[in-house]
Amino acid sequence: MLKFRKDLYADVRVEDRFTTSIRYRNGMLEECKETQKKKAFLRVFDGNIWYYASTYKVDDLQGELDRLYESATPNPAIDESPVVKRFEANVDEKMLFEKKCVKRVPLSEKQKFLEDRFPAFAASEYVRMNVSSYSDRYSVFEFYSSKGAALKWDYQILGGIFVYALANETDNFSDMYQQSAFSFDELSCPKEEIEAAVKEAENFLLHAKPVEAGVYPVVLAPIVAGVFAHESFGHKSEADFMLGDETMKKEWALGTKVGADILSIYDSGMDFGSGYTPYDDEGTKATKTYLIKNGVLTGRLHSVSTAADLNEQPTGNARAISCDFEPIVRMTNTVIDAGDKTKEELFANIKHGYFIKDLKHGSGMSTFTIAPSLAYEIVDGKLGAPVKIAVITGNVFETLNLIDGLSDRTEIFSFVSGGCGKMEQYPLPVGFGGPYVSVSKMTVQ
Amino acid sequence: MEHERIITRSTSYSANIAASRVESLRINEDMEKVMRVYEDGKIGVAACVGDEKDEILLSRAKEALKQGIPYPCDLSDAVRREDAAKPILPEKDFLKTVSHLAERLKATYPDFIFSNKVMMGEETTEYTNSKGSDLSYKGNYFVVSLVIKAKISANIMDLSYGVVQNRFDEDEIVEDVGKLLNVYSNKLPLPEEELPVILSLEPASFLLREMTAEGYMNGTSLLKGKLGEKIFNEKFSIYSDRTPGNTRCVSFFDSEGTVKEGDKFYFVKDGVLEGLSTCKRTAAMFSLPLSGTAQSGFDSVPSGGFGNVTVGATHEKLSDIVKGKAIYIAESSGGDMTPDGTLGLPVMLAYLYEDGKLVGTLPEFSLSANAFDLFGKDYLGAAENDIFTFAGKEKVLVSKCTLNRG
Repeated sequence: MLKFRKDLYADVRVEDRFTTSIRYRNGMLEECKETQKKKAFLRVFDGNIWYYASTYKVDDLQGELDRLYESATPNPAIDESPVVKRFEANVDEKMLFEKKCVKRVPLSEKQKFLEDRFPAFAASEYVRMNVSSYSDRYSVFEFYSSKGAALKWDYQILGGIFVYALANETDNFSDMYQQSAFSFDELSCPKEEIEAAVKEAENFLLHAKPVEAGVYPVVLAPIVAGVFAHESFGHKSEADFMLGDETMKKEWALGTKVGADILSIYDSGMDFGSGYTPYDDEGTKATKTYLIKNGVLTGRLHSVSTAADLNEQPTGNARAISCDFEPIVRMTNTVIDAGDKTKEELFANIKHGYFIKDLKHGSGMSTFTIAPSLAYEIVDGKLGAPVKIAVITGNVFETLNLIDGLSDRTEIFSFVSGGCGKMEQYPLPVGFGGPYVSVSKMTVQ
Repeated sequence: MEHERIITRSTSYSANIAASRVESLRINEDMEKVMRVYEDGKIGVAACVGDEKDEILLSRAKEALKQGIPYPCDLSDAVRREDAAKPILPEKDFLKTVSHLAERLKATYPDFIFSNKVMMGEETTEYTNSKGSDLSYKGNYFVVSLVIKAKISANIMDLSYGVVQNRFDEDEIVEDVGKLLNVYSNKLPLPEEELPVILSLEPASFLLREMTAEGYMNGTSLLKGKLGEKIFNEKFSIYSDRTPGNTRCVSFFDSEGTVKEGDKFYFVKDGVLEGLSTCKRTAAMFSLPLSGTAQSGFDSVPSGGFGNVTVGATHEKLSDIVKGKAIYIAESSGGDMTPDGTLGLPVMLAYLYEDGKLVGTLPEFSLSANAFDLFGKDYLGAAENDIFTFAGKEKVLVSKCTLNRG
């Protein structure tokens, strides 16, 4: 039991993380390991400055906490701090994955899962290199605070990634198939799906043509739409970007029209997905926050500090990638709500544009960017030839208003690799989702 | 049975700036220990956070041999110790120093809001093996990573100032930031004439991913079949430089104890594709030289990486390459390269550069270029960035690109 001192706020977060990583290249085993790491992150707040310590000495948390206390200045009014007032003192245990914990699955079974799928790469004679990977993570979090919070919860994600690099005499093309799950018995990665993906890559290698840089109508597949939501608007909803910034507070006042009427975006740590965060890293319970509803700004993402600064309430979005870092405002699972059109209807009105089926990465500042991995021409409302596109971009403020169609079903994606990067913290597991999204103008190059 | 051991110890102090004031101090102390054993062409790896006894780690690494991961045993007996750490600031003064810097930035540039991190740290890496190799490196760093926003802007950020140094000079930092901010509000049109473009090393990173041994030797690289050939401008070189003093906490040996002659390995030298990124596994598999850039996360089996990559300077200073006007790319992100080498780079903030100085900001645009032209016929050179003082050691590239105007 930790002894907290009076006149200061403090909390302690501990993560015990188990991971597995297996990788074969061209059928040869390159990596096969299980790792267990336990670390802690401690915070003390005196009403003026936060003092943090990251430590691997989890057997001496009291000692670490006492050393950290020495840096801070006791403040008899600490409980009156608008920040401290907003900390929740939840007491709960939410262990959802214990029974299906990946630690219980033998390494040999995980290896076999990959080995059984090696034949899928033979779907194309042009595959020159293939990499099959399995990863999993099972984390147990504990959180204790001087306000009385005592939490324990777990998190699990696992998945298979199959990378295929194709080449002929003149060209090359690489892509990947991946699937994630929340327990080993849910993971399928059907061989037929990997084969189909390899064949699609072959079509790209042999037939993809360059594009002429310009501004075109674009249809985004659900996975791309999800990243678009994350990059174009999600980051703008993170309230730490508004701290002490009167212009931002005015520009992003709740109730402001920021997008097309058909656009609604939410973020939810309650949903299963790579961004599942039942309690955030300062003990706030997850919420579902609508960022945009029918084109109007309705909410934003908060830590306790940013909520206090904007006189709003925390949303459960203070997250850190590990116990090496302090929690900062981050997304969890960010999703665009479905619309009312069919996918075909979105294509039908486009004379010449592009369909972005999948992507390598995205980024978001004043301009958001998406680097497609698979893209096709749209000609007279029909899907055409594969195309080589380096990047599609758009101004955030303009593009949200240029969304002119949403399909009628949302798909939500989780990932076992990669994640979101913000400042020094990468990668943070987040989920994305959306329907097919039609945008009347985007810059394609 | 041969074995090798790597111990890394690090301490860092990190101050977070929010709304132009220091809001937190973070202290990280870390120690990691890795043991690798080699037997019958196989590798076993074990690691721990903190200080576990060697015998326990060794036993776990031997157990890991059962995974049957093929890996050659090629241990050297090199012995060398380097201490490149220089006094920067007493740790007790760190918070006060950063607070003063933040206050001064806020007072000097009242139209802007500053945020993000200033960090100071030290790292020691030790490598020993059963053949008698004993390598150690100690380095330290001071990082200024400022995110800057104009108060009148509705963007989440407008520009950044980032430097990794092993010294601290408040005056120089404030002066450098001023070179970006004093002309920030001078909005200029995109020049009609074709001007050279000054870039960070980011576009070169797209080329590097085509230089891995696996990709190249399996025939899936854009550069396939070109090893030993001159494919870029003779002014263009790109290499890993692990020379103590030239790096900030990158040891002169890689993660499997390989030390290269002169602490450098050239991927491209004078326009010729000379080398590929290897580890001991890929070097043996493809009969390639070791690049001395192997990497391994915590308890991973080593794999090829790139280390502290830089480009060869063709001139001492940027102002020696560009006489007159150029476009200086200050903020770009999200760019990529298609399989045929077409590069797209969205530019969020660029300045007009004239006679060694930034003179005003330009509208947003994106750049397009073919990689073989960017580093080939259009390449003008690379040099230290003498626009800045504290950040003046950072290298920049100069080439020609197509500007796609909004």
